[in-house]
Amino acid sequence: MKSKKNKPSLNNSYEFKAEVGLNEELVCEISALKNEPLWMLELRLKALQSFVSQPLQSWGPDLSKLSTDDLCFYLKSVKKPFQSWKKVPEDIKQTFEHLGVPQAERAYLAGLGAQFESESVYHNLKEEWQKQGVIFLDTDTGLQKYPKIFKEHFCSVVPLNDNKFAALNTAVWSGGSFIYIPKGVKLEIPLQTYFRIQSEKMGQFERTLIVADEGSQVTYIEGCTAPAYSSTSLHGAVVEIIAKKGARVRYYTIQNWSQNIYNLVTKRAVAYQDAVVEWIDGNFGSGITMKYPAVILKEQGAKAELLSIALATHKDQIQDTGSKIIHMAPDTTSRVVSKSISSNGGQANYRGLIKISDKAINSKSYVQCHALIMDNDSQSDTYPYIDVANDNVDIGHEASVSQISEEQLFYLMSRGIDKNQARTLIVNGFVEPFVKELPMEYAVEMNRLISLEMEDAS
Amino acid sequence: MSNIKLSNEKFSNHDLKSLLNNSGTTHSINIEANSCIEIHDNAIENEKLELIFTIKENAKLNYVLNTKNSKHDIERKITFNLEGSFAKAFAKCTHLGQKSQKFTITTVQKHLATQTTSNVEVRCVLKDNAQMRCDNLIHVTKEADNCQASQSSKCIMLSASSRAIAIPKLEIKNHKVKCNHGAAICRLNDEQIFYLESRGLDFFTTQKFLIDGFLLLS
Repeated sequence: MKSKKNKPSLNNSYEFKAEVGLNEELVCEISALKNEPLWMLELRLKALQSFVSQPLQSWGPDLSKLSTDDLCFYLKSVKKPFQSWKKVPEDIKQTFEHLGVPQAERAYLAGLGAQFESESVYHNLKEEWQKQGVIFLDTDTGLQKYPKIFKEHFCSVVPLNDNKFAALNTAVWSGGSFIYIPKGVKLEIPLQTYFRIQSEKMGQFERTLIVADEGSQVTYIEGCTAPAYSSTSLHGAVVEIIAKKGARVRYYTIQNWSQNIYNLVTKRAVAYQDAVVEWIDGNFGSGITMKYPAVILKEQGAKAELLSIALATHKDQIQDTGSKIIHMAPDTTSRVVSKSISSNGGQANYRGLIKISDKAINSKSYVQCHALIMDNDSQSDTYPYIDVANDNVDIGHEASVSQISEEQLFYLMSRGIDKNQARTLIVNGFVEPFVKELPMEYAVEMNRLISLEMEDAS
Repeated sequence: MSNIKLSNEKFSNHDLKSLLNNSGTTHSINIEANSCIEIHDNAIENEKLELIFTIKENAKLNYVLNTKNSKHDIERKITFNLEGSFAKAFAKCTHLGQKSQKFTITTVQKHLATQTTSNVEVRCVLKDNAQMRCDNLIHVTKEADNCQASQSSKCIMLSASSRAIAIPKLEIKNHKVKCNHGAAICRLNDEQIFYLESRGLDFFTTQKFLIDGFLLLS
């Protein structure tokens, strides 16, 4: 660790910009700036120690090029999040306007958050939902306003020393969303947060905590982009979801980071009795992604669904994604459908775990992985791990890797469709199970994205 | 480590035990070009073995592992190097695990040349405290155009204290391929049990019928 002093440097565009590098002083400073309770500071410092002491993982993509010493860990753009879009500073507003984020809120969202660098710039929830007791805030404000809920659930799903980058997140986390859905409230329209990294050599560490109380229902959409720079930035998020008895949580991620971003995130949910957790995970951008959304099925009847897609369409791009489902109680079920496409020298991997404990009698799990490889420079690996300690189970796994089928191509071309269009059609069909689950606006966007990637590929 | 060369001029059907000329645990076996060889392995006396098969151009290997008569822990690490084009390798492994028997099987299907084919099938039934670990890798290199590789592991668990781990893996660096793998772990099919019992068979016989049928890989 560097012992360099972190002098706060103020310039015109940022409220506060930390010096590069990571040390205890920086962690104390972030905590002080946020006016946090002592227990949180202690947690942060403990996590920092854990981050420093843990070695880099020995498997998966090579992260040795990622130097955490050169990154800026905290960049504050505004004093506190605004509740009115009009008050957001003009330059930040334009960035999000350009992405079509505010229009989306007006059109079909119950609430919207926007995070720019380290801090939330905007968080708003429609009044009708506020009245029912729904909480939708940025995580920092959440900690200030609801310390009790926070202390009970924070770090309860992802322990601070879970992995190196979860530890880093716990040490320097800033921003993210805090959602609490009260008992029996069914939020039918989605909440969304949009994450943007604008500067280079920056580390964004958002922390999202979703607590769905008994019988409640929520859909949350996370969108991410960043402009392209030659130097690397790191996005190291931690997402914790607690789905209590009978709750239903659906979490969308549409990740479209630029090539210079390392996307190393830990996402995990705990499902209690009869709860349902659904991860819908789209990985389109970033340089290297390592993401394995997990569900711990802790009580009887809990259910997990995971639907993911990864596109690795650039040279040296690695999408190392997967899933982890841990069955700990009887009658639990899970289903994983994973699709990937690699082209132009990209690499799309699936790494999964299905663990059935001896208590999880009568549980069922089904995993399906399909990969398309478009050319000979690209690569696809599949590593599922199935561990069963119980005889009353039904487990199935299947995976296949292939190129676009010549027969399908021939069929379409014999009907007068040119080769490019035919390829696009086949690929669109391949990802259809995923696109089907997306909200309308995203589905249209997704189809367009794939046509675009196909044009590049041919 | 021993080196063995096999071609059609010698035999086409071998018992592994008679083939291995020393008691080492690692053996390298070359299947010469254009030959068609079948090797039977009944895992008696050789509980722990590492076998490296190198299959030359246009050669075909059938490897059959049947552990029916073995009561010990069994460990097999088998590599199929498909080195020449049009080489084929097929493996069928069946195991019935009892008491605290451990069965560990690691296979690697390495496709190094064009037009190569391979298939590995593992079927396993676990009783009592028996354990199984099945680690299967299909590796396709950049040079191996138009190859086909498949792998499946199936396991029936008859006891709550048995344990099965399946790790099927794919590493594909070529786009002109057809590769798939599958793994299934479950108990005996209730409908099949019901069918046989409704024909007047007792449960014990029913179970025996179903297991025998499952382990009969033709």
